[in-house]
Amino acid sequence: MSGAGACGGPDSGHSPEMPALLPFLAALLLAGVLIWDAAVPVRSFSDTENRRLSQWPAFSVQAVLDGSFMEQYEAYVTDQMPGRDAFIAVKATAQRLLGRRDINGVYFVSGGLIEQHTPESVDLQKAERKTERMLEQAEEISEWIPGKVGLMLVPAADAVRPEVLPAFSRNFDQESWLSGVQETAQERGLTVIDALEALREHAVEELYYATDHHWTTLGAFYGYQAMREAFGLDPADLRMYERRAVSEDFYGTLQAKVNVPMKADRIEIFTRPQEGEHPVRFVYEEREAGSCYFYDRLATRDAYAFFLDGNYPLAEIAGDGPADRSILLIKDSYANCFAPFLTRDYGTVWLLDRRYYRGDVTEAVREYAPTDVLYLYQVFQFIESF
Amino acid sequence: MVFSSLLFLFRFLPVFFLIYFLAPHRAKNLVLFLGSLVFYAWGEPVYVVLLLFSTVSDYGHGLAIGRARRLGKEGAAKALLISSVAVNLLLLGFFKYADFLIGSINAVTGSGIPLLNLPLPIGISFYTFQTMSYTIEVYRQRVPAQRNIIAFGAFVAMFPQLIAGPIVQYRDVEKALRARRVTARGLDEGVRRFCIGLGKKVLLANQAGALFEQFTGWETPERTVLAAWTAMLCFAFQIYFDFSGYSDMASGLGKMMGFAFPENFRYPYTAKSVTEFWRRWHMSLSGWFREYVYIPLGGNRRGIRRQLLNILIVWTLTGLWHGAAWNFLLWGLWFAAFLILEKLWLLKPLSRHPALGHVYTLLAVLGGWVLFSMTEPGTLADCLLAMTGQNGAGLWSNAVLYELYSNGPLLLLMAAGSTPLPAMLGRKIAAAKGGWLAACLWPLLLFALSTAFLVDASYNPFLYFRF
Repeated sequence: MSGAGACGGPDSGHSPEMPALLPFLAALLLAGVLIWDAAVPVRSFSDTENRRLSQWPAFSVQAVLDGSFMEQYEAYVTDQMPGRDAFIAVKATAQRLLGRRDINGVYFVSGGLIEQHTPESVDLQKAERKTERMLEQAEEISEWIPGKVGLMLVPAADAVRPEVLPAFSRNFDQESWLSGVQETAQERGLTVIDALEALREHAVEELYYATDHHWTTLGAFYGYQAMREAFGLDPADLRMYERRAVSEDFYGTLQAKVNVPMKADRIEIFTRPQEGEHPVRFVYEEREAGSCYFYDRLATRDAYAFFLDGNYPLAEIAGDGPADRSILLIKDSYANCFAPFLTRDYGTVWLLDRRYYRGDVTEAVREYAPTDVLYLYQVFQFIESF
Repeated sequence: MVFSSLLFLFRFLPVFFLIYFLAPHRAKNLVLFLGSLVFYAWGEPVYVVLLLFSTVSDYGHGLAIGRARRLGKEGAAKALLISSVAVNLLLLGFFKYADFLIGSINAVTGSGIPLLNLPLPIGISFYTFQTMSYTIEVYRQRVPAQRNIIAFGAFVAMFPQLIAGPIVQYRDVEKALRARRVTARGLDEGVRRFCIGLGKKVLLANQAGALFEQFTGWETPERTVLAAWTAMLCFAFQIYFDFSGYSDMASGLGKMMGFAFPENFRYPYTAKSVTEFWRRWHMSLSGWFREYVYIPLGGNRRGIRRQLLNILIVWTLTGLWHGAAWNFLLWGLWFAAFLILEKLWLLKPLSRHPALGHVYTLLAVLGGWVLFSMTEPGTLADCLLAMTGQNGAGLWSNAVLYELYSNGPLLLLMAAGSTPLPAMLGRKIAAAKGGWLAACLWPLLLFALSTAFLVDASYNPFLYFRF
């Protein structure tokens, strides 16, 4: 940003040779924008911002007198500004050039973007309430379930790679919060999976998307590895899987927040030898699909919905494991790329998302009678939405 | 409507100027008057009536005063002048100060008079002062009364300076109201000046404002000494770039039409005494008070005691002009105290030590901004405790260090922007070979960047809207 120029005083640089040039160019610029504006159709929705854009307001004398017409018209002009996304990118780039380390709650770090979680952004009492609610529920379930009740709280990227965060930045201490919760969970008989420790061992690898707040399939694999260990199974071996990129041009939520041009992410799937597709049934939508992977989603803005088609109240995946072994995940979106790993060990994998599931969770567990239950959440999504 | 909005830049501005340039000479004042009414009514669809009332009132008063003067009826002329000033002050008093007065009476006497809760009409402090200066000047026979109500309406409602000044006095634009020309030079300077002002407002003031808001939102552990001082520094930058940017835009728009508005700011943060600061800050307001209050009260011609009293009166009024609240009154008195100190003792020693004078002035001004920005007694106390380290938060914490690290270049840019350096640099570049092209393109670059910031702006408040 050449902001220094912005501060020029009353008599900064003239161009006496051609005094008409600047006004002419300025008029051209304005006319150009107006013509451009008239030429592009009115948009109703912004994919980048994921919100409805303002439309022409309804005219009435009342609306003019109380000023609401003017307000809405102004919102309409602002929202429908041609080149809106490009302008936002210009602003973010200018701020970056001036040395800003974060924009819209996202840190710029080497190799990508990391979501910012300041200490004051976390409501500790709320976190405590959610934890207690979850622990009570888990304890009740563990009393009558045949197998294990696992708890895996996945840290957000800033806890796994603290060394790349900007100097002096203050971040919510996920590590100590997690260790407190996990200790209590252990005492109360839950099988705790320490995802933070598991991910930190591989911190240099691509565990999180550079442009999105989710973990990658590789990150989910290390989570799965840690889970097998905690559940007393033989360790999973990365070499057993064939890794295949299904998309090389994934831009996620963090990139949408800062909207600067950057290198796209790759979405991968991991498959075992001779592993086929796993049919999925979305129980409440009464819809079935032949695979956990939804390729048509890759072309959309929400490409992470490639995994299990995004959000749903309850899904059932048919696995390759023994028919009498099943698991029910009480989960958020982090589980969507994680669940396919479980098809190795279970005949059925249930996925239940409390944000959309209307019924009682304990009742659901009774009804589907899984062998094991796993709580799988990202730390902040857990605090926000459990 | 504010200048720093896409609505103004990409709707009002092109449509207005297209009509204005196409209109024949005789119709230009009418276009300006009607355009200004639309501009005003956009934000104040009801209060536009008040503006029209004020226009008609002072138009009539002006004519009558001029006539009485011509006929030698001094008593009538004086009575008419008093009537005109009274109407203006009553308007201002009712819409701006009534609730302040009621609230203060309630607080002192414990009575429960209900507040009126009237929203303040935008720009009322500016246009009442302008129309008062008009009738006073007519009374003093320095300008003839304006017979054409369209021309007079164009003067009062003139949208470039309607809502945030500078306070244009009638004599500044009297000739231009009769005859003015759109010239290539005027357009060039006007566009340039407007873009500079827009950049100051959108690229600097809004960023500084966002930082100030962020700092003042922090909880005590982060409200360290360094954080509190940085916050006030941000406020100082915000208010300067906001207000002077707005004046630049006004001046630029005026130039494009052939008006020359008075300068309102001259690098105030480079001043080496508070006296000098006020010769550089909001010059059109201090000029108004000097001319219509200070000098009529006797100025410095009736002995030092009377002069000090006059300073006190002027600065009480200046404080209250900025807002109907006790903190603005305190703010005015704060500067009155420094001005009196300087008048009595400090000016000489300060002039011998310019560096010291500069530091002292910045501290006095920053202290003034504390009073200005903290509208609640509670927040004022918190702010003072934090700035002096009495709140137990310590000297600094990572919170403020991070913000300084992440925004340091921006703050340095603002500091440089408060000095004549960028203008000097601009002149150097313009004078260099091929520099004319750069001089021509960078205002457009500022305009484009400002547009980008406005498109993204969730944060675009305008500070001087409520004065």
